[in-house]
Formats: sequence, structure tokens, C-alpha cells
Amino acid sequence: MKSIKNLFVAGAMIICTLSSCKDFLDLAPISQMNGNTFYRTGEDIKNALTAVYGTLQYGGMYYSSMHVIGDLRSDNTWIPNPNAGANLQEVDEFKNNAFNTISSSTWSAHYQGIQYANIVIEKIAAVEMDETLKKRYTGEAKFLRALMYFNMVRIFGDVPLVLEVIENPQEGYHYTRTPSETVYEQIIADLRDAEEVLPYEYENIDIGRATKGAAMALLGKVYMTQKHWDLAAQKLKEVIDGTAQNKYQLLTDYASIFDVSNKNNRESIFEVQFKKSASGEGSPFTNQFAPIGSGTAVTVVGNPLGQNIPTDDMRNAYENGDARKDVSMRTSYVLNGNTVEHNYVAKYLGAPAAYLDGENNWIVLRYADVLLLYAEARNEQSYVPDGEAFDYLNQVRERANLLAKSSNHTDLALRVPDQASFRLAIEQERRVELAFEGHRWFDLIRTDRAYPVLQSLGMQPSHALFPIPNSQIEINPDLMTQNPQYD
Amino acid sequence: MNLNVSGEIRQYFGYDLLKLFLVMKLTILIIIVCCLGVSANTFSQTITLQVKNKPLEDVLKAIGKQSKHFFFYKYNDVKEAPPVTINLNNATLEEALRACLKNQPFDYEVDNKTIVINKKTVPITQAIQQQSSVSGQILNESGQPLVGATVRLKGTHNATVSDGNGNFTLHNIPTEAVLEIVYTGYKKQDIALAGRTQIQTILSLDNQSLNEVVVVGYGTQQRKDITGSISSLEAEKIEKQVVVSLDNAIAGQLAGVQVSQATGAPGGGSSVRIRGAGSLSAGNDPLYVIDGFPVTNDYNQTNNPLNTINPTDIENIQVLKDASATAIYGSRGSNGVVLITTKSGKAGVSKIDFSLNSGVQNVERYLDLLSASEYARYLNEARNNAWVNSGAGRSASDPNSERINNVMYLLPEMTSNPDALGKGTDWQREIFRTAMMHNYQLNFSGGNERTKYFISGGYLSQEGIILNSGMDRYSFRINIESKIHDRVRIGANLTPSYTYNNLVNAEGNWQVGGIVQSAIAAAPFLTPYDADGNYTKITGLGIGTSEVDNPVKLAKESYYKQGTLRLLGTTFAEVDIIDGLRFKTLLGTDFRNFRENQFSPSIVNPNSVNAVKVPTATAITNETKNWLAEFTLNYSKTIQKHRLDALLGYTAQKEYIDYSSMAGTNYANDHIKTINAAGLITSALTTEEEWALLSYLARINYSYNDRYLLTATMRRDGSSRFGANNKWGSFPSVSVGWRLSEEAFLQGVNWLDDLRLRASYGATGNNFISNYGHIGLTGIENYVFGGGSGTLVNGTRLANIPNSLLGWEKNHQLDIGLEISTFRNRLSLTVDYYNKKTSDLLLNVPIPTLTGYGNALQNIGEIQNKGLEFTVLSRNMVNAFKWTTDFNLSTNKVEVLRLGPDGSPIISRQITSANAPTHITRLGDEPGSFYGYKVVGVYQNEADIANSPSIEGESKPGQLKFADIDQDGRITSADRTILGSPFPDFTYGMTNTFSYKNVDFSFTLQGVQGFEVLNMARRYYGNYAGSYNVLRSASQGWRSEQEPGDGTSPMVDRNFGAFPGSNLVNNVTSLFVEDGSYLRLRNITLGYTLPVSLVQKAGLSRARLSFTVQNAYTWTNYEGYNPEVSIQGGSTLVPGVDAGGYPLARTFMFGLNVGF
Repeated sequence: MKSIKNLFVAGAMIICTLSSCKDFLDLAPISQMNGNTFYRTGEDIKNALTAVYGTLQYGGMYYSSMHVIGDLRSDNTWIPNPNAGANLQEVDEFKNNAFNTISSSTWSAHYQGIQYANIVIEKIAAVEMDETLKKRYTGEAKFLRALMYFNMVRIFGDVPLVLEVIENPQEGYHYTRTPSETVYEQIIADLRDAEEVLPYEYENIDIGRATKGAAMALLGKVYMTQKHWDLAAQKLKEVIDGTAQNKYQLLTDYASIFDVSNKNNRESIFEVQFKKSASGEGSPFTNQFAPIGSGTAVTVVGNPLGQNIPTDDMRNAYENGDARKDVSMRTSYVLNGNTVEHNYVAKYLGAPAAYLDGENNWIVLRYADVLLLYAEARNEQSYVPDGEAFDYLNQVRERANLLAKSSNHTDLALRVPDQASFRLAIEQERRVELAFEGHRWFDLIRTDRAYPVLQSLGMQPSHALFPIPNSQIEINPDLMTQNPQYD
Repeated sequence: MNLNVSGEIRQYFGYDLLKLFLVMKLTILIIIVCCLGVSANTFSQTITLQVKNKPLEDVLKAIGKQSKHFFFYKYNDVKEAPPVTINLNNATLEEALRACLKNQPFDYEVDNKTIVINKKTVPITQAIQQQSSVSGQILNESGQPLVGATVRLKGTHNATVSDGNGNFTLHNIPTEAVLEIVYTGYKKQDIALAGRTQIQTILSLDNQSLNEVVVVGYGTQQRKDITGSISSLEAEKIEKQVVVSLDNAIAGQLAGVQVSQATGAPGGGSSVRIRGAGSLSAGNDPLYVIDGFPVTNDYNQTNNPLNTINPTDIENIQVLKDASATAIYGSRGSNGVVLITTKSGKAGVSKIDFSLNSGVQNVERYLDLLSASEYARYLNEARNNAWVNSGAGRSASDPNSERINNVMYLLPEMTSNPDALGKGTDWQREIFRTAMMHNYQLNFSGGNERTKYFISGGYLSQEGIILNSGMDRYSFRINIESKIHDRVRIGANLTPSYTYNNLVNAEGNWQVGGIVQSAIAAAPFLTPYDADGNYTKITGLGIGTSEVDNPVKLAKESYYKQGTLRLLGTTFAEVDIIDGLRFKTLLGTDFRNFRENQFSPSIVNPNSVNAVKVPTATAITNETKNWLAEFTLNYSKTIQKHRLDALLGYTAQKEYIDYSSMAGTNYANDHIKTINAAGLITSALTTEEEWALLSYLARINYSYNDRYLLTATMRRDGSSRFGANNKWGSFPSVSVGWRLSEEAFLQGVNWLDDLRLRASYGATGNNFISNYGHIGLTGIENYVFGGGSGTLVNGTRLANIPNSLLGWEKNHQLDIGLEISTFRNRLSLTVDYYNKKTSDLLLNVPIPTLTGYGNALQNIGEIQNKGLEFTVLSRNMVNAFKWTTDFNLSTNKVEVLRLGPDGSPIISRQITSANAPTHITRLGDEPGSFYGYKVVGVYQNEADIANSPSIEGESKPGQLKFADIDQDGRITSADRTILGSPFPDFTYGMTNTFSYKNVDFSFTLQGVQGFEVLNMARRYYGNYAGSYNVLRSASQGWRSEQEPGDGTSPMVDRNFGAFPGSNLVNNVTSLFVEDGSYLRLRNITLGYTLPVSLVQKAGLSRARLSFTVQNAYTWTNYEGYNPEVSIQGGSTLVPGVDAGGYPLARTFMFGLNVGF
């Protein structure tokens, strides 16, 4: 009987030798690229990293969500025409519930970016490539992951912290919401790693990638959000001091910061890149922000969507003579020879090639933001009359052709006599300096000023966080919970 | 390569083991030659030897040494042999052996390098008996000679077979011998000669068929030992039906098997469902195994791979239904398995069979549509109503000049005098035709005790009943089997075929040129040809009828060709290693080359006012290569009352798919239709795919005392289609049987011949998903980097989530069966209850988006099918006049038990619906249920609207009143509900066969009861707007309270678009859902077998004439052509939709069958 067994084994062996048993079943797509065979070379990883940047352009990120949340929800802008979209109007009016699409699109876009970043961070380890580049790619991916988690934790509070590549759908059901403190720890760790390995500057085709300055500036902002004033001040000062090669500066002309022919300028620290006429790489802002019914009076091409209209309160927030006002917003347009009184955002008026195919980049971090954060940090450390904090605040004001503020100015409007009034001065300056750049809501939340300021617009304290998308709770009710008051 | 070592080996084994060793060696050689193609060298030596009175053993050793051969012998036998004296000089091995064994009681055999010495087994007692010959004739009960019956001297190898007239002669037999006569399907007969030399015997049919051998997965079993649920169909019943494809031969014949012939197009496929539908997305078609080769059946309605098999070549079809029978097919068994065995030769005289079937086909029914004058009146009424409803103070008698200039209100000049238009054109009769069908078949078969062969060639030519459609099939088959050694059999089945199909675009909406729907919808007051004989342009008339293109032109100008070359072949070698232990290796390939060429000429331009368009064309090639290697070891042993049958196996299968397609446009004209003439290639692609399956299998059949039966099977499948962490799965099953009739307490019951209970439970799988579903594919995600305005930079993302856990759909099935045979086997009944649950359904469902993805293909969801099956076989009359009845009935209840993670229903839209969803699959209901508004009547007046739920601001008298499902007092989209389902309550079939002397007659009835059809084509030919011709039944709309019509038809109104909520065009309503229940007289056969005396004069051995009617008549209330219709036949999510399918043909065939 032993011979029979041998015979049987022989038969099996012949088949197995002809085609190894393991390989026999391990078949990969022949006519399609796939994840099992990709991520082998430095070039593959570079492509995968590009995709992480690519997600910054998603609707749930800087294409739409970040200004809807950053400005529309605040007192900066509103939706005067309901045709601009019910979901946006709900966010503006604090009526958005868990079914609102801003929640779901923001959630899914960010986690898409996070998954792609995780892929780069995880897969790069096994790739044989230039070690410097390997470090840099990892640093860029970590910066982007940190940026995305920073957005998420500020919008939703506790969020699931996914740091590994998800290999199958079932793994998705194992994640629950991580305390925001832990998420912040991860953000800080990622930014510290990034700061270590990223270069100060890029050249030619690499311009637009995350820099050391971007990592430091973002880290400073994260510390500010956590109210770690010393750490924040220290990190922000490093950005301000810079190095010989990398010295950020305020551009003399406020308008030139947003000029489409002056992208990635010396004031810019990190911006989301867009390009018109480049197969879907165009930006939507020109069309999004033009008033409904303005035809081609505001946006040369395409359909005005009226999504982010400055409030009169915003218009009135500018001091007389503020050079930034006309650059940032306009109050009327001329249609068929008639002047129409209507506020609209003017920072992103590069001529699109087609509907939603514009040239304007979206600036995420810029030097003026850093200066004002630093001034704020110094003031929080301690109020020093006409101290360093005043210097940095006034640098920004001067560029706007405004008079400097001081602790005992004769003009009461310019007098900042104590720490509390300095806080308000910073708040005011950030509002007008960074108007329509997606900062106002996050600043108010960060400084615990949202409820007092926005109460009159319908805000309740629970509105500080956005609702977790209902679909995500329904799909995994055991592990996903809703934010208070949204149940 | 030479496995043997040269030299002298002395063997002390018993003979059996020695043989085993021989066989082993041979087997290894076969495998090696098969697999590696290495040939062995041969030697030739001469022997020189001189010995005197030496022991035989020593002499043999010496010969072995010189000739480099081994000797095998029984030591004791040789030791006792007389001494040998020989003188050899350069003798051959043969001469040497003959010399040394002269006068010795030994024989020898030379087998390659081995010489076997056997003791002569001369039956001395027999030798001294008187020898004589016997001859005779073997007939069946109706006096027909049985050809090829085996006549054997009982207990010996002395045998012969009967010739073409049933005659035989057997020589060298003792006068008192007993003859054993065996013929498949008949009862074995023993005849004691008692000195006779001339006998005539009549074999009776073995109706009980308990000893009949049934093909099961990877082997055969006697019917009495089977504990699984298996339905069988024999060649006779397949041949009688003049069908082109084997799937249609099964229809109505077997319990638990529902065959829906959804299209009557030549070569069109049917959907075959065994015990309901267990899968939503992974396919519900059974696995087809042809002569041991599991073929890939990528069924679709226009291309049916089963078509390449000629049904008349089929010996039998076994349908494995329960888990006990199908688990041996593991991850492919959950939809049931259809085993097809083709004909093989029988030992006996050579036979030549020729058959010719020729006949005509007609459309089975015509729809009752409006004539030209009726349609004109209907159209005018629709416009008058539209005008009156469009504003106050408007009257139907207003002339065109007073109406708003809009086609919806204006009465066309053409229809101004309806009576003058008369009957007009019956477009149905313009596109349908009486079509010819011819089928020729020539078989050669025969063989002897060692080698059998069956060779056939067939040619089928079938015209379609729609103009310009048809198919031709050339099929060949070579089956050869040979016993090359007492213990070794080899064989091969080779089936080359070529199928050429000329299709027309029959099914589908008129907008895309669906011929059938166009013929129904086209205005009857238009004609196909103008006075000059050119096609009439019936689009772009500007009269507000729809732009339905000329159906005759659509059919005649169609250029849609398919050709399939298929080479299916298997070879096997079978070795009886020792008695009861059999090793089998089977190698096979299935090669298919499919080509399709389509050209849409400029003059075919439906749904457009323009007479011409830019021509387009596509060319597709799909080549699939599939190979299979299978090794099985079978062991059977009977020890007293214990019978054991065990199987072990290993198989590997792989398929390669090469697909390419090209599309072109901008043709200068319609003359050249191939892509080379295209001015612009719009797409060109080639793709390659492959899949592989490795399996281990095992089965044990055990029976005790023929009463207690046990079968246990196990298969382990590894599939390339599944995720890295789920590559392998196990599929066990167990079943038990109890033959109560063998028990002592039932032995006294005379009327009971067989009574058996059986039960089975097991697991199977369904792996019919895409080849790479578990792998994450990459996609494009670009970005911009660089100075200035930046540069587009390529980025690559993982476009879908991989799923390392993706696996097969799991099916667990319980089956309980009862089989009873009574009244001397005149009546037998089989009842089966089954309950099968399919879990881990493969569905693309939402997943937590924190994964980075919104949807993923996952194993989720559960469906249950349970039902009862009854089969009755009754021999009502058994004498000169014979009458048998086969009846089967099956019920099946299908229910969705679990869906995606949130349990939300799957709402689907069948693509012929413009934008409204058509189907819903939800928990607790049947999958793919029809979904829409339920019509409860027509609003009679304003008070009726005020008192009933209505559509806010829209409902008017004369419009449809829908059921307020959510009872909120309003009609909204929340009031959509389930309107019906394509799953029947029960299906049944009955065949009656009569014969008297030379005449035979049979008919088959087949019915399906309790299911609905979603007749989406009614959206056009029942749209109550006068923009298409309509069914007469749909023209009885509401006119007023006094003339309310049929109560569920709304007022006809050309301006249906004004009422989006209530109009029939955009929504699915219960008016589209019809009862599909039907009873079909599927087959009538009348045959006459010419008397033998007559045919022999013509040099024939037999001849039969037959007349057959297929699809003779269908009783149904369904208003379309065919209630079995389903435009997306195989789909479970969007089944049962009629979009104007290719009607079934009624076929009248004459047949002539002669044998030489």
C-alpha cells in the first residue's frame, strides 16, 4: 500500500513541479496595475505620495469643506441664496445634522488621504531607493497625515486614529473614536518627524511640496490649539527666524499674495496647488464664491454658485483705509451696465479656463498667520505693554497701511491696554488679515470665543463640533458614537 | 528515463502482488509518458545457453541475466517443476522461453522488461466435457431485436455480443452451460441451455433500474446505493425533443430544475435554476460537467456556450441537487451540478446511424394590437384630451387652427380620416417569418470486448423566425475507449464544433433599435416599403409619434455575426491496481475561440428625426483556454454484508482568457462593414485574465446489508479568485439512506418493491465572481507641483480596497427524501424536501469610510431557498398497448434573510427603465421583487380626489389612483411597494408516452405557476398617450364617469409629461406587472418504426419516421409573447423584465432515422 501512496504523491508532485502550488493560486491581474505589485520602486512611492497631495484637492478637503467650515460656519460669510445648496445653508445656520453631506464628505476625504499617506509610510520601508529621498517622502506623508488629522480633530473632536494600511474591509469595523488628546500626540509626533527630515526649500518641479517651515508652522499652530504657549512661541519663533536660505517675509503688496502669477511666494508656507486646463486639476473657488445671478460679471467663465458670500458684519470689520479690504472682498458688480449691490469674495478671481477649472491655489499656511499666532502666544505667556507681541501684530497692520496699535495709544480704537484687549486685537486682526482663507471658525473655537461671538447667529455650545456622519454610525453602531446633541 | 534496474531479481511473492507491482510500474510509466513525454529505450539480445537436467529456476535466471529481463514467478511452483535440458544458440528470448517451458505446466507473458511465469490453468474437467455451439436471438418486449447485448458463458470470459438483428453465436461451450445475457437498461437473464443449441429470449426492461449505474461526481454509483438527490434524463428523452441546445431539453423534465427559455433567438441561452436562486451577484447557473470536465459557462442570452454541444450526442444528463451530491464539486457546487455524459460505442457489430430532421418554425403567438384606423382614432383622442386638459374652455372639437401650435395638441393630417386607413400594416407579420430548420446527424459506433468507439458528425441549420437571423452548427465527436491490458483502460473524448450565429437586435427598447418592440410600437398606418420598394422612412414625420425606426429595415440591415470554435477534449487512463482498487487520471482541455462582428449602417437610425447617421462597428475576439488534470483513486470492497466504496482525488484546473475588442466609426459608406474601413477607431483594447483552482477530494460510500447506506464527501478547494487569507475552503457533506423495503418487517408486503428514506446535509460554495475581486487595483490621482503655474504630475492611488478575506458564498443544504416503488415497479414516487441557506453573499456594500473607501466587495448577506419536489413515474399500461406517465412538481420559496451591514434594501433599476427603479431586494422578501406604485383605480371626479390620497397639485379625474402604502394621506415616492416577483410558487411537468406495435406517441406538458413578469415594454405599447401603437387591451382608457373604461386604465392624454408623478412612462406601476403563470404543451412526438422485414429488404437494420411539434401551445394570461422572458436573464437583482424579447418558435419537424 505504500507504493500506492507514493504513486499518488508522485502524481500530485508532477503537477506541483510543473507549476509551484503556491504560485498556481497566486494570480495577479495581468492587464491592470494593482496594489500587490505596485510600491516596488522609488518612482512608485513618489507616485503614491503624489496621490496623497491629490486628496487635498478633494471636495471634502480644500476644494470645498475647509472653507465651508472655516468661513461659512463663522460670521465671515453666509448663504443669501438658498439655491447655493441646502447642506451649505444648514452648516451656515447651525442646522446641520448627522445627515449633512459636509460631515460625510469631509470625513471620507480625509480618511482617504490618511489611507494613502499610511500606504506611503508603510510601503516605503521595503523599497530600495535613495535614503535621503526615502526620508523626505516619509516626512512629506507624515506632514500631510498630521494636517489631515489636525483638521479632523478640530472638526469632529475624537476621531478614529488609523495609522496602518487597511488591508481588508473587515478591519474598518474595529476602529472606535480615539480621544483627541491621543490624536494630538500623534499629530505632534508626525510633525516632529517631518520637521527633522524635510528640506527648507524645493526647486523646480518639487515646488509645492511640504517643507520644514510648513511642518514647524503647523506644529506651532497645533501647540496654540492645545494652549501650550511656550512650545508654540518657541516653534513659531523658529519659523520667523528661519535660516539664510529660508526666510519667509510679508509681501509688500497684499494683493500679490493671491495673484495667480505669484503662486508659492515668499509669504506662502504651504498651499494646495491647482492648475487650470490640466484634466481636473483646476480650482473651483472663482465659481463657488461668485454671487448667484452675476453671470460672467464676476467670474469670466462658468456658473456662479454663491456659496461663500461675505456678511455685512465682515464688510464692516475692516478699519477705514485697510488696504486688505478691496483685495479680499467687493460689495457690488456690474451686470449689463447695472450696478448690483452684493458682497463677494475677491481673493480668488483668477480667470478659470472653464466652469470649476480655475487657477487659484488655496493657501493653508502663510507667514502673516504665523506672525499673528506668535504675537498671540507671547501675549498668552504674559502681557508686556508694547512688547514683542505688539511688534508682530503691528508688522501685519503696517503692511495693510494701518496705524500701529499700542498699549496707551491716544486713539482708543488703537489702544490695547491689557492682555484681554490684546486677545481681541489679535482676533480682529486675524479675521481681516486671513479673511476667506478658512481660519475664522477654527480661531474662534481655539480661543473659546465661538459661542460668545456666534450665539446671535444661532450657535449652541454643542455646535463647536460637527456631527459624525450618520452613515458611519449606522454601519458600525457598536463602536461609533455621535457627538452630543446630534443624536 | 528508465525506472527499472537491470539484473536478476528473484521474486517470492504471490501472483496477485506480483501483478500489482507490474501494474504499478505501468501506471508510473503512463503518468510519466503523459506528463513528461519521455520515451523508453528498447533492447534486443540473443541467448546462448546449454544445460542438462538443471532446475527450471536456474535456467530462468540464466536467461534473465543474458536478456536483461526480470522474471516473476511463484517460488513453490517453479521449485517443483521438472528439470530442463536445452541447447540454445543465439536464440531469441521467445525461442528460449518456449524451449525451456516445453512440456512444463507453465505459460509466460512478456511485458516490457518483465517476464511473468504462470502456472497453466487448464480446466481439465471442462476439457473432457462435450463442446458445442449455441446460437440465438435476443429481443425486447415489443419484439425488436436488441443490438449489442452481451451473451456470456456464465463464470467465464467466453462471451459475444448480439449483432444488428439481435443474433448471436457462441462457440466452445458445454452442453449443460448457463448463458448470462446482459443489456444495459434491461434485466439480466440467465438461461440454462439444457442441451439446446438454438434459443430465443426476450429481455424485459429493468424499470426499477435499481442496479442501473448512475454517473455521479468523479465516478459512478448504482442507483440503489445513492443517498443524494439526483435527477436523470436519458438520451431517448433528449432526442425526442427537437431542441438545439441541451438546456432546453431539460425543461419540464426534472423536479427542482427550472429552465426558463427567455429568448427564442437561434442559439440563445436559457436560464437554468436548480432549487431556486441562492446568490444575488455571483451567478445562479449550475456547474456543467461534460464527460468529467467542469466547463466555464459564461452564459448570456446572445451567446450560450452550451450550444456547442450537440444534444443528440448526449447519452444522459444527471442533475445533482443536494449537498451530498454536489459537495464533491466544492466551491462551484452551490447552484447544483449538471453532469453530461456523451454517447460511447457498445461492444457488438458496427453500427451506422443516420438521422435527418427537417421542418419549419413559426412564431407561437401574435399580440393583439390596434389596426391603422383604430390607432388613428386612439391617437386623435389622446390629442383632443391633451388639448382639453391643457386649459379651461378648450374643446375636443376645436380645429387645429384654434389650438396652440404643439404636436401634442394638433391632429395630424395622416389620421384625419381613420376609417380610410383600414387595417394598415401588421408590423409583427412583417418581421416574423416561417423559418426552416434542418438537422443532420451521422454516427458510427461499435467495438468489441476490448475497444469501443463512437464517432459522430452533425450539421444543424436553423433560421430564426425574425428576418435575417439564424445559426449553423457543425459538430463532431470522437469517443474511444480501449482495454489495453486486463487491468488498464484508456480512452479519449474529442469534441470539435463550430457555431455560426447571425443575430439581430431583437430585444430591448425601440430607442436602441429593438426590433420586436419597434414592430409593436410602430404606427400601423405606415408601411415598410414605399412604391419604389425602398424602405419607408417612418421617423421624423413631425406628427408627434415617436421616432421608432422601420422594424423591417432594422432586421434586414442587421449585421451582427458571431462564430465560436470549440475544442473540448479529455483523455483518461484507468488502472485496476488490485481488484477493487482503481487509479484514474484524466487530462482535458477546453479551447474556445469566440468572434463577434457588428456593424450599424448609416441608414439604421432609431430615435432620431434624421434619416442617416454615422455608421459604427465593433469587433470582438475572446479566446479562452482551460485545462484540467485530475487524479483519482477508487477502492471498492465487499465483505459479506459490508460494501465500501472510497474515492480520493486531486485536481487542478486553470483558465486563460484573452479578450480584445475594437470599435470604429466615420465610415465613408455602408459597403464595407469591417473595421478597416472605419475612418476613426474609437477604442481598441486587449485584456488578459486567468484563474486557477486546486482541489483535493474524498468520498466514502458504505452500505450494510443493502439496507443502511452512508455517504460522506469532502472537498478542499483553493482558488485564485479569493483573498490571500482565505484561499482555501473545505466543503464536507454527509448523507444516510435506509432501504426499509429490505427489512424483514416489510418483506411480506408484496405490493412494495422498494422503499427508501434518505437525508443529507452539507456545504458547498459559489465562486463565480470576478477573477481579481480581492485585489486592490490602482487608479490615477494626479497633482500639481512646480514653479509658475505648475506642472501636472502623475499620482497613483489604490482605487479600491483589497479584501484579503474575500471568499466564496457558502451554501448549507439539508435534504430529506423518500423513494417508493410499488406494484411490481409499475408506480414509483420520489419526494424531496430541501432547505438551503446561502450565506456570505458576495455583495458590494458600504463600509466604514475610515478605511479610505466607501464600498467594498464583501461576503455578507444570506438567502434561503426551501421547497418540495415530487417525481412520479407510472407505467399505466404494459401490454401490447403501453402507456407511461412521468410527472414532476416542485415548489421553491426564496427569502432574503440578511443584507449589508445596515440591512438597507438594494433598489435596482433594470436599464430599459428610463430612470425609475424597477426592483427591490429587501429583508424578508424575494430578491429582485418588482417595485413601484400600486394602481387601485382611476380618479372619477374631483370629489374622488378630495376623498382619496392623491398627488398634491397634480391628480385629476381620469388619472391613476395609487395605493397609499404609508397611509399619510398623500401619494409620494414613499408609497412605492412590492408589486410582484419572478419567482414561481411551483413548477411542474408531465410526459405521457404511448406505444402500440410500431407506433409511438408522446407529449410533454410544462407549467410554471404563481409568478409575475414586469412587462416594461408596456411603457411603450401601453402608455396611454398615443405616441406608439398599443395593445388593444391598453386602449380602453377612462373617458368620463359614465365611460370609465376598464377601471384601471387612465384617460389617454398625449401630454403625459405634464404629470410626472402619475404618468406611466416614468414610473413603474402595477399595470406593468402581469401574472406570468403558464402551461405549455412543449413537445408532441408521433413515431412509426418500420417493420424489420420491410427495412431489411432495403438493406437497413431499422428505420423510424417521426413527426414532432415543439412549443405547440401555451396557455397563459400574459399579454407579451413569452412569460419566461427576462432581458437580463441571469440576474437576481433585476430579473423577469420583458423589454420585447425574441418570441419562442413553434417548430414542426419531420424526422427520419435509419440504421445500417
